[in-house]
Amino acid sequence: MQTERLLGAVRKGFKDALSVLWLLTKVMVPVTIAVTFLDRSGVLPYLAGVFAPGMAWLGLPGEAAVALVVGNLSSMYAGVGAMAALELTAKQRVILGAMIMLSHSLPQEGAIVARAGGQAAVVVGVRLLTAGVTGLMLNLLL
Amino acid sequence: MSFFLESLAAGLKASLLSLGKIALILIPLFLGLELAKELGWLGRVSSGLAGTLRRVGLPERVALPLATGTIIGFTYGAGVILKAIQEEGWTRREMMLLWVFLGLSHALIEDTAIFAALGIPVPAALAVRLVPALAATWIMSLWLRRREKARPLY
Repeated sequence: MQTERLLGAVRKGFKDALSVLWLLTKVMVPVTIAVTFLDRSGVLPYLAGVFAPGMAWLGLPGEAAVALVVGNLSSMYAGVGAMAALELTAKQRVILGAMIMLSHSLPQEGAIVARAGGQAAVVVGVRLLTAGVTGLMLNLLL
Repeated sequence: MSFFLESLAAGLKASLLSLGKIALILIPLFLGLELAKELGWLGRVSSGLAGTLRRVGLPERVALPLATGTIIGFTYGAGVILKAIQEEGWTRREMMLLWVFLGLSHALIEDTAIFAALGIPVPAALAVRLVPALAATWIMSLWLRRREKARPLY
């Protein structure tokens, strides 16, 4: 009885892991390829130049703005995909990772908050603010 | 044409390499998580959490939904929260603080595994998420208390 329940748990865990991985694959592969294209065609370097002054406050290269934008507006997985295409130092990885983890998938997660009775606008605002402040602080501290 | 193919190959290689690393971490973690759920460890985590919650202004009764959302994920946590709200009738303040914390910090196992595979050490990935989330919730609770004092609810 006990063994059967535990076996069921292992099966469910495996299935859940595979479904997350599949979701991740569907988003990450196209986004990473798209960012690589943007990079090699000169579009990303141009955008990076535009964003560089602002991103410098966070200790990040201009290119990282793309990961932040797609991570927040699309999904965290897209942000991860964009991040995978960039060359970053260990410090920059921690800063960008922290900012994406704190604030991502805002349209989808905002909708979940609203549906479960929370104030989505406040939650979204606090997330963006916290991600920004955390990025600034990590740049100063690390 | 070679530019097109080379970019495609490079993007594909970078994403599949990252995905492989993520899979190596994610699969064992999810297995462990399901076993822990089955063995009732989530309740123990939530009672351990209660002390920390009080300090940032969250009442103890949010501990279990909070632990669920924090460890497992947003959507699942939202379901548990919705049920708790209907059964227990939470205050607006409790809901606001819970959602602020959970918005910043959820699905810790999955997200930490993904960013660990991208080269962020696990303790660092957890710290840079939990510390800002606790700080923001604490500041929010102070602000809400001040607002309630200025405009008391009769």
